[in-house]
Amino acid sequence: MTDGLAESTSGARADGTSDAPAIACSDLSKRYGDESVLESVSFEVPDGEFVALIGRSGSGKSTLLDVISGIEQPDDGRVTFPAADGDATVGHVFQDPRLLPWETCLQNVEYVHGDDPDYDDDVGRRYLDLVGLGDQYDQYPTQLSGGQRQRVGLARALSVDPDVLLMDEPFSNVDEITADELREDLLDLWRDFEPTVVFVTHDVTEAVRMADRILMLGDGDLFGDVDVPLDRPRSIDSVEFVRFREQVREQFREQG
Amino acid sequence: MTGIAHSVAAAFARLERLDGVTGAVVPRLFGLVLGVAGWYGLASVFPNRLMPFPGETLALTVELVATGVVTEHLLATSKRILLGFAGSMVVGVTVGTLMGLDDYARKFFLPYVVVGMSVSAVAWAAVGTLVFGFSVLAPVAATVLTTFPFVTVHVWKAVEDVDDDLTRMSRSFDVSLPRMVRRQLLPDVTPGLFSASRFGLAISWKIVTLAEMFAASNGVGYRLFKAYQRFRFEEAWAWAAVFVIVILLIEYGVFRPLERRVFAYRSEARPLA
Ligand SMILES: Nc1ncnc2c1ncn2[C@@H]1O[C@H](COP(=O)(O)OP(=O)(O)OP(=O)(O)O)[C@@H](O)[C@H]1O
Ligand SMILES: [Mg+2]
Repeated sequence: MTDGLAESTSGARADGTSDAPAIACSDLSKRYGDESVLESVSFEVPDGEFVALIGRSGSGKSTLLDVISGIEQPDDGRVTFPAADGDATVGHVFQDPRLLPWETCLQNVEYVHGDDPDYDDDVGRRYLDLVGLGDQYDQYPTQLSGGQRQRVGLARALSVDPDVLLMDEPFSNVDEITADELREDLLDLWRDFEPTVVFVTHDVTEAVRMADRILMLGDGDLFGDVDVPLDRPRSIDSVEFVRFREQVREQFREQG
Repeated sequence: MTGIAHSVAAAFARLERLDGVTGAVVPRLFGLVLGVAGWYGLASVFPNRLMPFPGETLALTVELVATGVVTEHLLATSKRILLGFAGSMVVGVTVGTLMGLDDYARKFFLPYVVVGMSVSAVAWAAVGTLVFGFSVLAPVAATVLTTFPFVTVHVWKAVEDVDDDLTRMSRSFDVSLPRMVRRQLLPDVTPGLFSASRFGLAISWKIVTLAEMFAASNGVGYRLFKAYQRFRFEEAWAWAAVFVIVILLIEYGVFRPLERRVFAYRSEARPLA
């Protein structure tokens, strides 16, 4: 089989990765009653890309993530996962942690694994260690701080080894210093595990710092789609960083 | 210096422990003492024939227990209660779940539940006796019909109040339905099921004893009523005491320990919360 043939049939590349996008949204529309939240939203996310989704409060960011993860059915259009042959594993970190209050951290992670034969509690512990909860395996959610709960949600989403990781303002309830640490940790994890990430935030600095590409959502549609032309690791004090951030802000303010 | 600090800390720890004990014991003891004192007060106002003193009643209760007559009638009553309670839980949990999940079912059942809650237990007991005669079915049917609306309402509310965000979380991680029911939905409705069974059992007691007064030839209610008819008030009081003791045994022997186990996660969470 020649390379050319492989390319044309499945989009597979020689190094095993794929040209097919990880997420493909076409003409997504979503209404709640009379209120139209998403109006014909289309975009693709290449495999392994880190995308930030920014938009004002109520612009439909969470709704878009819910549609991608299949919790909400779109009224129109569809979401596909071509890179995973349509069958992507999705890890969703919600805006509020959504943990089972009657189960411990470890049980909460185990809960989403069903009868997965590869899962045992050591796996769960490893992911809790990863997010810095090595001492809290057997604590109940009410015994944790808001930031710690959010991290259990992150461990749970990472533990399914997601092809697509959806994160809804995961650090908004965490103090600035911890959030900084978690951002670095997340970037490390992203480098190691290479999931495709859609990261919702309303913080432009955070978006520019984390993402390869920034999508802007407002009035039910994407009004901005910019690549972040900065090398990693990024220093948020550098001239390039500040200049680009102001550029994004400007566009966001004018159109959002 | 550290020696003093230590003994001060120890003294505080002791005080706190003591406070824990008094917090648990004092209110209960106070309630009990007040109840018994009230009984004494009333008993000394009313003629002794109508209202004996607590000691006398308890002595007669012990005497009745010793003859075995209590066991016999309590068993008969318990059987009816258990059947009626089980029946009303089955009907109530089913109807309540349907009402909580489905709009059509809610609209369909609501009038029955509302009416059912207000129909007098005596009416059902009378109808039950007319239909089933003196068989065990009469008090059981009366109990189910009177109790299930209350169970239904509790279950309905519990199912309706299930945390939708958790359900969405389960769905987004493709958790299977049986697992979701066992790990997410059931624990969520458990407090509602507890209050439903508390209510259900309490109402079942009332209805069964009431129904036994004219639709049975044995049971605690039957004996209580017979005692009244023969003007043996002290015996009626003794049967009432049996009733009270059994209720308290069930509350503190069954419901409380079960609750403590099921809701362990809440109390474990308390010290830090
Ligand atoms: N289940 C629902 N039923 C009705 N309306 C909804 C529902 N979920 C969201 N909405 C509406 O859809 C709009 C978008 O909500 P969404 O939560 O997606 O916004 P968001 O961009 O995530 O906002 P935020 O930044 O505040 O989290 C809002 O106007 C909201 O009121
Ligand atoms: Mg949101």
